[in-house]
Amino acid sequence: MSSNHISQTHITGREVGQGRQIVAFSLGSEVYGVDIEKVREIIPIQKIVPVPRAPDFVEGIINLRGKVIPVLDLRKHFGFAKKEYSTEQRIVLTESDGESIGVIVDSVSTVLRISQDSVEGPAPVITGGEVDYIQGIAKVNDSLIVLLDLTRIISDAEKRALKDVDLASAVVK
Amino acid sequence: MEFKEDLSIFLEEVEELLANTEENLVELEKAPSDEALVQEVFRAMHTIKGGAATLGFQDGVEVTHTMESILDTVRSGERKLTADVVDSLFLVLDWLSEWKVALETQSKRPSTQEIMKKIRGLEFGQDEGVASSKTACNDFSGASLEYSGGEVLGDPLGNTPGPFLAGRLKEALDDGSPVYKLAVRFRPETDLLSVRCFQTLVLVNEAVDVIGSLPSLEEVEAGEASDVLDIYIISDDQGMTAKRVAGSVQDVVQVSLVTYTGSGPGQSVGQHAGFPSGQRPGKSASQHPKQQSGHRAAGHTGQYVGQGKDSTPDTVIRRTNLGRTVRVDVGLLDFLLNTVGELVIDRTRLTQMASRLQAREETSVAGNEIAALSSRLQRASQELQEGIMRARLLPLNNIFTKFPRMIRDLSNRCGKQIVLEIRGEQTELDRTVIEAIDDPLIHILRNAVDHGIEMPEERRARGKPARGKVTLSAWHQENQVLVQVEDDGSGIDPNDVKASAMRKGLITEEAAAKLSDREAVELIFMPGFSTSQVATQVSGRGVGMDVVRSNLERINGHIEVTSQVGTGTAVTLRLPLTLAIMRSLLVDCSGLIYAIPTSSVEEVLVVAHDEIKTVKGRAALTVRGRVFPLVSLEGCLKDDPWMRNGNFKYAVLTRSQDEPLALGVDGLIGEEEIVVKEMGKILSRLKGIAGATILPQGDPALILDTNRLL
Repeated sequence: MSSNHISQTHITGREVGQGRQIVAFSLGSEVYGVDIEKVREIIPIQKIVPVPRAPDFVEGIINLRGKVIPVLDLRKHFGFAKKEYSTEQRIVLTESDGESIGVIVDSVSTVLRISQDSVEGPAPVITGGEVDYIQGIAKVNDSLIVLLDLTRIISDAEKRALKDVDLASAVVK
Repeated sequence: MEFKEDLSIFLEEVEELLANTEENLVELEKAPSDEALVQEVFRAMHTIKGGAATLGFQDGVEVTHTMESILDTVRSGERKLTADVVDSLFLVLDWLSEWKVALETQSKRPSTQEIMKKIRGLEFGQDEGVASSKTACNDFSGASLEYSGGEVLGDPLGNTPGPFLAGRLKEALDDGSPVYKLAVRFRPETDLLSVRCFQTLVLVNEAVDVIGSLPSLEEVEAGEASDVLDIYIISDDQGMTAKRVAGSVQDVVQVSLVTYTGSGPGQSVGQHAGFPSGQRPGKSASQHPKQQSGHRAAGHTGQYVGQGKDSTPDTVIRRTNLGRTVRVDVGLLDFLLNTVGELVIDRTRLTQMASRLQAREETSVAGNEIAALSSRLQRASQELQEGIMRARLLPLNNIFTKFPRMIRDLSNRCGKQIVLEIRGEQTELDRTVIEAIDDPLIHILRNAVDHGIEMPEERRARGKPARGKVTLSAWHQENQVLVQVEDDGSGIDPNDVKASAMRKGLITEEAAAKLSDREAVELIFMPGFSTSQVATQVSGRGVGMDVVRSNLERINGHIEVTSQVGTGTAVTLRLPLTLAIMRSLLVDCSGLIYAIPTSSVEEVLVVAHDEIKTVKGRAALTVRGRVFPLVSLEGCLKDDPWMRNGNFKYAVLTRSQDEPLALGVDGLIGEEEIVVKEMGKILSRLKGIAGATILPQGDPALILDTNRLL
C-alpha cells in the first residue's frame, strides 16, 4: 500500500505556509499533535469502566454528561507500556462518524500554531511503517512533534474491532 | 391489506405537509424570492409524491409531480414565482386536501383532469407576457389573475359556433376526437388586431388540427377581427401545445382552454388567466358555474390579490383540524429519555447530599428540606420517564394489519385453505421492538402456512376441517409482551427434525438419540437447518429459524416452540416492552457492577458452597431437580467460565443458548429500571454484552446478554 504517498498529499493539501493549530500532548517521552479542529473537548481523566471482550486498545467506557463514550488507550495502540493512573492524564474527545470517542493521553501540554514548512512527511524508518495515521513530523524549537490523524486511528480501530468480533463469532460457530 | 396502516400514517403526514405548505405559500407571497421557502414547498410536494407512489395513488403522483416540475423551474431561476404559480400552488393544495379527505373517508377521489390542465398550462408556460402585463386584481370566482386594463373583456365561453362550424365540430366529436376550444384574448386596443388574429390562427393551425374558429380565418382575413378569438382544435395533448403556441403571439393576454363537448358551455380546463370579473361579480357568478362551485382557492386568491383592497368578505377560512396527535422524531424521544436519565442521576446525588446534611445537627433543617425536594423531584422525573416511554409505544396493529393479505396470498399460492385470526393487535410495544419483530413474524407465519397447515384433502383425511387456522395473538404478561403464532397443522415431528439434522451433519446419531422430543424440536433453531427438502416459493431459502432467533435475541427477546404432532405448532415470542428502559438486576462482580435484564433471570440463590456438585469435573447446582452448570460471571467475562472462583456468594439462574446456567456473582445490588445506552460502533458487537447504562451514582455499567455470555 502506498500509504506514504497518501499521507504526503494529505499534508500538501493543507494550507501550506498558513500554519495549523494543533493540540500537543505527551505519550511517554514523545510529543504528539492532533489538529485542533478534530478535538471536541479535553477532559480530566475520570473513572473508566473496563469492557470485557473489547479490543485491547479500548480502555473502557466513561459517562460524559449522560452519554456512554468508549475510551481508547493510545499507549496500547502504539504498543507502549501501560502507565499508572495519574492526575496529569487527560481524555481527548474527538468525533468519528457522529459518535464521540475518547483517547487517553499522558498529559496535554499546549496548543501550538505550527507552520507547514516545519512539517516533514513521515519517514518509514521512524514511524515503523505505521504511516497510515501519522501525517508528518513537525520541528518546533528543536523538539519533534508527531502529527497524528486521530480520525484515521479511530476508524482503523473500529475496523479492527469489527474484524475481531467477526473472527470470534466464526470460531464460535 | 398492509397499506391500511401505512395509509393512515401517510395521511397524517400529508395533513401536516399541507398545513406547512399553506403557511409557506402565504409567506412566499410576501417574499417570492425566498429560495428556502420554494425549497420547502418543493420538498413537501416531493414527499407527498413519494408516499402516493408507494401506496399506488397515481392521481396524487401526477398532480404533485407536475407541481414539482414547475417548482423546479422556479428553483433553477428559469421561472419567476409569479402570482399564477402561487395561485396554482394553492389550487394544488386544495386538490390535495380534497384528495386526502377522500382517501380518509374512502369516498370518491377528486378528478385530476381540471387541476392537471391548470398546472400543466403553467408548466408549458406562456405566462410571461401575461404576468408582466397584469397587476393583481381580485377575482373571487376563481384563482385567476389577469390583465387589468379595466375593460370588460367578454365571456370566454360565450360565443357559439355557427351552423357550419357546429356541424364540423359534431362530426369530430362523433369520431371520438378530443376537441378543445381555445379562447384567445387580445389586449384591447391592440393595433393590427386582425394581423394578430391571423398570426394566431396560422400558428395554431401549424401546431394542431384546427376544425374552425370564431371569427373564421376568412372573416379575419377580411379584417373582421375582434379581441376575442375562439379556435376549435383536435388535440392529443389536451390542447397544451396549441395553448402555448397561441400564448406566444404578441398582444395575447390570455388563453383559456376548455374541453368542447358540444353541449353547454364546455368544461373549463386550462384557464390560467381569468377575467376581471371582480368588477362584475353578478355576471361572473352566472357564467362561471364551474369555478363558482366553492373552490376554496377563492379564499386564497382573495387573501392574495386582495391586499389593500376590501376583499375580506371573499376570504374563505378553511376549517382546520389539528387533530389530537403530533408526530415526533424518535431521535427527539431518545434525547428526552437521555436527559431524564441525567435528571434521575442528579436526583440520587441530591438525596445523598440531603442525608449527609441531615446527619449533622447544624444542617439538619436544610437537609430535611432538600430531602423533601428530592422526593418530589423523584416523582416528577419518574413520571416524565414513564411518559416518554409511553410516547414510544405503538400498537402491534402497525405490523399485524398486513398479515391477513399475506396469508391469503400465500395460501392461494400453495393451494391451501387458511384463515388467519388476529387477537390483541392493540397491544403496545416500543417502536424499535415492533420494527425488530416484523421480519421474524413474517418468517414464522410463512412457516405456518408452508410447513404447518396441510393440504385440504390431507386435513379431511385426518378428520380436521379442510380450512386450516393460524392464530396470531399478542398479550401482556408481567413485564413482557408475548406474541404467539399458533397453527392447527401437522406439527413438528421430533424424529423428522432429528433425521434432518443428522443428514445435514448438524448433530451426530448418538447425540440425537439422547435428545428429548422438546430438545429435538429446538434443533430447528440451528444454523443451516430447514426441514423442507426443497426451498419452497413460500418459505424461500437462505434465512432460517436461527436468523429469526438471533434477531429476537438482539432485542432481548426470546423465542419458544411447542408442537404436537398432528395437532399443530405454537411459536411464542417473549418481548421486552421497550428497548430503551429495562428492568434489570444489578450484580457486583469483582468490584464492577453489571446489569442483567430481569427478563432473563429465573431466580437468584445464595450459594452454599457445599451444595455445589461436580458433574463431569464441572461445577453445577441442582435446583428442584434441575441441573444448572455453575460458572462465575468473572470467568465468563474473561472467557474462562470454569475458572475456579469460590468467592461468589450468589448464583443467578438464567439460560444461555437455551440451556440452564447458573452465574456466580459476588454481590447483589438490587433491581432497577435502567436506561439502555449505545456504546458506539467500536463496542457494538461484543458477545454477551447488550449495551451499557449509567447507574444512579453516575458510573457507567455494562448490560449483559446472558444468552451469549458463554
